Amino acid sequence: MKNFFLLLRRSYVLLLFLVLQGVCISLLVKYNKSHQARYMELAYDFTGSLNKKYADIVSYFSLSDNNKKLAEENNRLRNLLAENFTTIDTLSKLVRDTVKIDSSKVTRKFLWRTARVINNSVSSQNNFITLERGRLQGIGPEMAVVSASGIVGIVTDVSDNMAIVKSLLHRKSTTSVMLKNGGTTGLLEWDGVNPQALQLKGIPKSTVLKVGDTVLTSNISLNYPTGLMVGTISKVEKQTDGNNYRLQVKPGTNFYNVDFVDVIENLFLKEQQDLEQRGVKH
Amino acid sequence: MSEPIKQIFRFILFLLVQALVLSNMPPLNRFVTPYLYMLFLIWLPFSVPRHWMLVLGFITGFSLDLFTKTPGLHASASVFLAYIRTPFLRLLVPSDTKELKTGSPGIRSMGLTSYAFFVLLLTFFHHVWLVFIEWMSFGDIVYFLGKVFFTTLTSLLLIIITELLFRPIRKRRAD
Repeated sequence: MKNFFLLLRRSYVLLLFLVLQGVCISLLVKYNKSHQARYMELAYDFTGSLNKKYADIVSYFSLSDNNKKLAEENNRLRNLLAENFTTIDTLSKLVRDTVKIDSSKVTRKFLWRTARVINNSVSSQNNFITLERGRLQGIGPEMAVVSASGIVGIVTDVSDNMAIVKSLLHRKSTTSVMLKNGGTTGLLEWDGVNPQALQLKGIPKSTVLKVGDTVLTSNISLNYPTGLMVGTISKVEKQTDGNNYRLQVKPGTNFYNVDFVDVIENLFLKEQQDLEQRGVKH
Repeated sequence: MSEPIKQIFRFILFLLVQALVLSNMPPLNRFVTPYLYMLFLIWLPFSVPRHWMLVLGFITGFSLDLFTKTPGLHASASVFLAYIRTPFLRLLVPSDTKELKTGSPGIRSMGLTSYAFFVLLLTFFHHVWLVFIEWMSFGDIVYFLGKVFFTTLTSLLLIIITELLFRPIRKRRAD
């Protein structure tokens, strides 16, 4: 009898061990499957606020660097101002438009919101970034995130005041990009090895390219506006088999010190997805 | 300071150091992510019952997971560590040691050789489990072995530093 109780006591610990491991593994599997777990929101709000305090302290060390980057961006934007351009065109003359409907009306497609990075990782195989902006500030899943020097990732999960971004440095991240020179589109992925080298796939060998060429977001990307800076080609390998190059791209964003970013909402995203869904059904 | 308060203080400290510094800093190499938080579990007193050990292991790992956004990953590894801790202790500590009721694992209570062996084994198995789970989604045996080896090495280095800083042997002998 004593032995029986001893056995029970012993297997009780083993049982508890197995139950706890079961909980862990199921959490892991569930989270990995969808990259978002609703029940984690509350916890992220807490760890997020802690991370924010920490980021506040750390950001002091990169102030000068950020100032420099902002100045550079200001400079670039000022150069785009309309005053900098002039039309030397004496042939055209001003004509009063008699059409009542404004045919040149534009509709906004992308909405930009700034956000601050309060947590960031580059060390794991699947990296995430936490932003201090959430549902209440208009952030939602599938929005694109870009920094001043290049694209960063896609929002996967939001709580009330925080958002989690799947960065380009994620093994399941794929981005549709194109070469600035020629416009050939390909897919950008990451193999989880080097944060300074992303893999660009699907560029046929007939394309003319060289190291240092610029890679931009493509016109068929759902989340990103067309023509945003992605990075530059850092290495060209010609595979002996297959029709495509094996290219490595150095991301424009420095993922080690990304601090302020813009979150871009595609206002047509739902409409496009719905339409394409309907197209698939037929 | 009473024992529970000391332990809670230690828990928070280890967690913050791990979450805000060690898991946050740019990696030296893709193989190297140092871990220190499991030292909290290693340092728990001998007298903690085994099922509480498991629960504490889960809480510790899960708290870290909330920071690193990998629910279940570290929790699983630290529950495993908590589970194998008691058998190793039984193996390495003679049952007539007088500190078994009140003390906790350390050079003073276990002797340098046993304690070093104890820490080495627990750290190693923790990392094997952790990297194995991380590795399951993409099979690369070089990555697996390399990461286990180098991460264990850096973690041990950190543990030795912590040991020397916070639990110097000379001071313990004096009291």
